[in-house]
Amino acid sequence: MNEIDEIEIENVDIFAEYLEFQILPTIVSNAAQAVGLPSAKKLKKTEWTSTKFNLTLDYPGEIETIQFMRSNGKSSTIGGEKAPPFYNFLGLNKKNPNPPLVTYDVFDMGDKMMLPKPIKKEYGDVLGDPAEWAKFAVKKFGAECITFHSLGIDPGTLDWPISNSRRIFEDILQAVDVPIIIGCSGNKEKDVELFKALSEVSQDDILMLSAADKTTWEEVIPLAIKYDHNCLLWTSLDLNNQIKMNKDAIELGLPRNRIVMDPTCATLGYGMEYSFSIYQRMRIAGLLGEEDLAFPISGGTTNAWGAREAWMSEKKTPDDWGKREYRGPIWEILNALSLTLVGLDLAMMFHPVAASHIKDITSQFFTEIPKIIDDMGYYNWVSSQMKY
Amino acid sequence: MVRPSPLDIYTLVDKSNCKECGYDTCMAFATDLLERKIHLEDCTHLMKDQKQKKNYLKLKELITPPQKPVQIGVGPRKVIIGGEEVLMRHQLTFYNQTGIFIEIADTQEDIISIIKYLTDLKIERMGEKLTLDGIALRCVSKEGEKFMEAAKTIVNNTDLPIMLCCLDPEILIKAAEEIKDKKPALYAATKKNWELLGQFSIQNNLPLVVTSNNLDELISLSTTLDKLGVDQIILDPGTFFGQGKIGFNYDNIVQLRTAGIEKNIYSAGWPIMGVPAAYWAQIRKIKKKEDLWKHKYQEVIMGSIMISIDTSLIILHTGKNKDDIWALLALMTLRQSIFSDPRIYPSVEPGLYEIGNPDQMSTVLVTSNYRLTKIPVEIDVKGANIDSWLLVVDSEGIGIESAVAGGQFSASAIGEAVKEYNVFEKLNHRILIIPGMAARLSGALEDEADCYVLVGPRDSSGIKKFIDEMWTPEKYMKEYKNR
Repeated sequence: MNEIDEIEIENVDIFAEYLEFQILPTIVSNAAQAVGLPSAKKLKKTEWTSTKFNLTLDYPGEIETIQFMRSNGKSSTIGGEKAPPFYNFLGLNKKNPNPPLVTYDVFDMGDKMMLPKPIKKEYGDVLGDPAEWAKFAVKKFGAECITFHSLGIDPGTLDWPISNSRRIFEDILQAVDVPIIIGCSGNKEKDVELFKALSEVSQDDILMLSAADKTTWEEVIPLAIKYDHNCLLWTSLDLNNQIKMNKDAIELGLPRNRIVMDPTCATLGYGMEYSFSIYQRMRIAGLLGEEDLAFPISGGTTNAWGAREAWMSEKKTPDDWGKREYRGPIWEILNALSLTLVGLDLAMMFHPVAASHIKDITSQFFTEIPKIIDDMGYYNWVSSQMKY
Repeated sequence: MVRPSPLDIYTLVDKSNCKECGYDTCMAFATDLLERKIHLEDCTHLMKDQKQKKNYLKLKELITPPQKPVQIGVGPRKVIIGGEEVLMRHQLTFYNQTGIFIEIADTQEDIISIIKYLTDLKIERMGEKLTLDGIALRCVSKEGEKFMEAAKTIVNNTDLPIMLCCLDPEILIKAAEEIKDKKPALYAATKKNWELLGQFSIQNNLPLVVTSNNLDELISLSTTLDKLGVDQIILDPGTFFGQGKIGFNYDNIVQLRTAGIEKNIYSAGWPIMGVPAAYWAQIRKIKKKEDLWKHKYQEVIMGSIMISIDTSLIILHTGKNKDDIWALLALMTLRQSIFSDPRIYPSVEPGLYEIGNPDQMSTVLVTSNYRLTKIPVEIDVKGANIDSWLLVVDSEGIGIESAVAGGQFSASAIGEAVKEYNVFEKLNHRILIIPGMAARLSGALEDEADCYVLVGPRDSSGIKKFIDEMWTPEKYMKEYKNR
């Protein structure tokens, strides 16, 4: 019946044992549309059905609680979660006790390194004086924690003696009363020396050595144990390596409440998703009872500034990306915020605007959340003039 | 949900290997059906043979994800939202990225140029083109005629999908009637108007948003409309701003997703939408013009939270304006990241790659085998029209900065690659250009690979300038020989 457009059958009786009509579905739907049929769906009446929304989730595990403490100053706590971030609907007894902690980066060679302009602009003169820089971060931006990175000791950069870092570190300890994280240079031999010197002078405090990795852990972890500091265990985007290093650290005698994990924080736009999924897997596993992964997570979200979308001036960008002064901080914010939603407990940050946004937003998850609110004018979004 | 295996599917098709679907075997069809590369309806036997109807229905149920997919729009730019099988991307992959819609008021002046701008907006990243997914038309005029005209103007000027947003169901229906062949989504059914809009949605086969800030009521709406026969539902739990409200939004979306996807609660198993644009209807007057960016940040931040938790569709206000491209760049990059397939390994094959037509005097750029390092370097060099060798070193799939610190991208790793891929046999020089971030390896590498090392820029965007200004191989080779 290929050539036929129309078949009309009226008052016909057909007697047949087997009768098959093959009609292309398009013909039927076209015909239906042509006469305006309400397709094949039948309209029916129904009553309002009241339904209760119900959801129960069970997380038997708990993430270790880690403390940072200055003996004559302030302390900070991370971890202790019994639920994924920030599942407030599970109830008050499951509510996460500690918001993510933001630590502000301070470098020993701040005025001698390449820094993105938006950051230089914020810190200005203090970049040349790490102690002043730390003070500025605490006083002006309300930093609750500082990370001091000794990059200059690397023979590949300035090959400064360890004594130089030690002097700066002591100045910072004098200048601010918040916990300090001890960051290193990447040169293995000198980093071990650095950790030895700096953890010794701060043995009355509980700080963190950042970090032990696959080549230095056997030397760095014993220092953390000896001087009672937390130790960051750094691996490269590999869950199994992280489990192994956590186990090795415990075997060496590092107490569970001194362990923080860093499975590597990749940059937004350049693989952040790998970190995102590893964080999420680690956190969920920890909450489901996998003890080898039940530790807080730290990430260098400062890495966001490695993305050209963040640092490149609008005069040089290949396409129109808009103003750098907006692009830069939002890049670091999204990098950090997205990761806090999957388990980041300690965000090492750079731009003060980005840092303050992360503190502000994450703290909003910790204010009391109403079970039900009125529509608060929500539906005005449909009909209101949006002026800006 | 327990994911079906290709074998589960295979047992329900007729195993005739008829090839009519384009696959050689029914097993191949089954495998790609699970990956959503082909539709169940492409199996001609299953569709035609009445005796297989039972199996068709069984299969349909088997492959329908717990969060049912909903299509908005028609044609090449139609968008499918929802349809996820897993709560977390690492459990499999997310299939449908967050649809990004931009709102436009029906009173908007210069509406056509905005529509054109949104339609053509395109950001190229990592070899992909990032684009917007649709337009949400808002009824600000509160006039049926005006709203309908605006809807018609949109469909006449773009093939982007549309969501028609109006709280007066009569006005909404009137406009939808006019453009229904473009399959717009309808915003929104409430406890008051569900019956009217539900029936309209059924008759015209249009997706329908249901909205309530109370999850019990939202689920009741979804249940009721499902009973009525609506089979394309989108859930809107509301988007609120102010102290504690971010947590409220987050809780609602997370609960709905978990209930729908993990607990198989049918009425929650629909795409979920959020409206970061609602920020601008909830704030009071902005006093300082120079603070405007802070407000835009609030909206972008809400959008980023929603994308991070796989919200199916978001509506933005910021982004309509050319100056706000930074906001879309950030959100679309985040979306590209979260919705990339986690089954694709972060590393690429190490080796000596050719970019353009390199010869014996061309540069050798050294980089890591991290996928997201190699791709941009390649794009940058190609884009600069440079003929070059690209030596991709096995850094265990780690990016340069981390791999230098972690020791995977080391002088010996580069040295080994130079040997393995016979780099210098293809050249008339012995010069390697390493990334600026790996500068500290240069001394050791010169010994390791017996070569001259040039430290390149820290970011591959600087390669063109670097080569233009610095590439004087004869000079370097002289220095190398005099050492």
